[in-house]
Amino acid sequence: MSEQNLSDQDLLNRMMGGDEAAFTALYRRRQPAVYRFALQMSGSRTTAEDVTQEVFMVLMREGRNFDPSRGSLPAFLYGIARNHVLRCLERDQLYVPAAEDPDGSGEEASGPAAADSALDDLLRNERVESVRGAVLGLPAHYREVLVLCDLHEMSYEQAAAVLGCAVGTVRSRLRRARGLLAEKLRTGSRKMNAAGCPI
Amino acid sequence: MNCHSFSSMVMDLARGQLDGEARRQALAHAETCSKCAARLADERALTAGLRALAASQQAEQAPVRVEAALRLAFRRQAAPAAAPAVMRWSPRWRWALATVAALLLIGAVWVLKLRTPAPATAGRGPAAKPAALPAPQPAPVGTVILARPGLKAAPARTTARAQKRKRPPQAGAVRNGEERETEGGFLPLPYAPAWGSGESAMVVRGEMPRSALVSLGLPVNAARAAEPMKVDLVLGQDGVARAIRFVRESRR
Repeated sequence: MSEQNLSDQDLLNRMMGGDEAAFTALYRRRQPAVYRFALQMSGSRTTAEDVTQEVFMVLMREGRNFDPSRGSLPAFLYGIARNHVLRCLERDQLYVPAAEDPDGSGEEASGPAAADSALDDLLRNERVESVRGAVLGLPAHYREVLVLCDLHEMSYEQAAAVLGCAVGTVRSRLRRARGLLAEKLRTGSRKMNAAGCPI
Repeated sequence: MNCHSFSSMVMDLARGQLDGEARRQALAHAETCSKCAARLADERALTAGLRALAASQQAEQAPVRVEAALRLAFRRQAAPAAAPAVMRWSPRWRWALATVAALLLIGAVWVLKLRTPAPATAGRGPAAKPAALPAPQPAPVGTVILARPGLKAAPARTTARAQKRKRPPQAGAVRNGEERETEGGFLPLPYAPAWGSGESAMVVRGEMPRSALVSLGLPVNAARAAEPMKVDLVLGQDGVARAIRFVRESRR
């Protein structure tokens, strides 16, 4: 039977029985989301690689302890990734707030340019980069709820399972995170500066 | 709906998480309140920006080297699982197994020796000297009772004499006071090797299915082939059976 048609639990069971093909299938199915989460939280591809590898090493060692009645396997993996990312952030201090350009060499946004398709693309890319930088500039406990709910489109319940907190806490943190993000974007739009981004 | 309740649900409305009557009322309020409408527009713009960011990173994934490293680690982790099978046959286990086998062998020999006929207990008649088996020919009735090597010879008993007694004679192996009556003498087995010069013999009583007589070269009644039967076997020093005697149990 093809591993593509097997559920996460079936793959996990086979994997714990020593089936490398099952492990590979499970890894390929779940690693993109884990990697993206780590990347969006840390802003560092190196950190995202390390976290992804560590998450699946833990799964190899602790997979027998996974209890499907307590949550889904993706939520389990996200929880492991979150713990590792937060440790990395604290250890390496990857969070670099968007600082003002002391030399004043940064461009100042002068408002929407002419409706040109190439310029639209440029502006769109700049906007995406602005959002990315602003997300990375949030405090970690606001950033993670924003990444899970708005970038990974998790429900409040799913995010609460990953974060180990109540649904109401997730909603209130998300509201606060979006408020801070909007403020940063407004500030950034007045004085565009990508120099503070870690990447 | 008022502005306060609208502000508590504007985030869900902008993220598409609000539906039904609540959504209808919130939209209706935004149409009547410019401040709330601006708030809703900001939230929708923020949501669009975040979705654009998510879309730009959708193709991001770990490089191939991460998978390679994990698969290598997986194989290493799985490899030691085969070792315990080898460890089970460590020298200590082998010694234990050999000891058990030796004890079983000693026990089997001891049980076999218990089944050999006891030396004479009735004290009747002169002790017969150990006699060699006759040549491979059907033995006459009432002859040939061999003593176990090293023991006093059992008295010669004949079937006829045994039949006269009220109590059956203790011929052959006597076990736990059972009374047996032998019938006939020892029959030499076909294809049995010849006796060696001075070779001693041992009589062993046992039970065997009648069908086993075929392997001894003797005829078998097919209708009774599965029935067990008690026999006395004369074994040479090489452990090979030379003769057989059929034991019939008597019941009072």
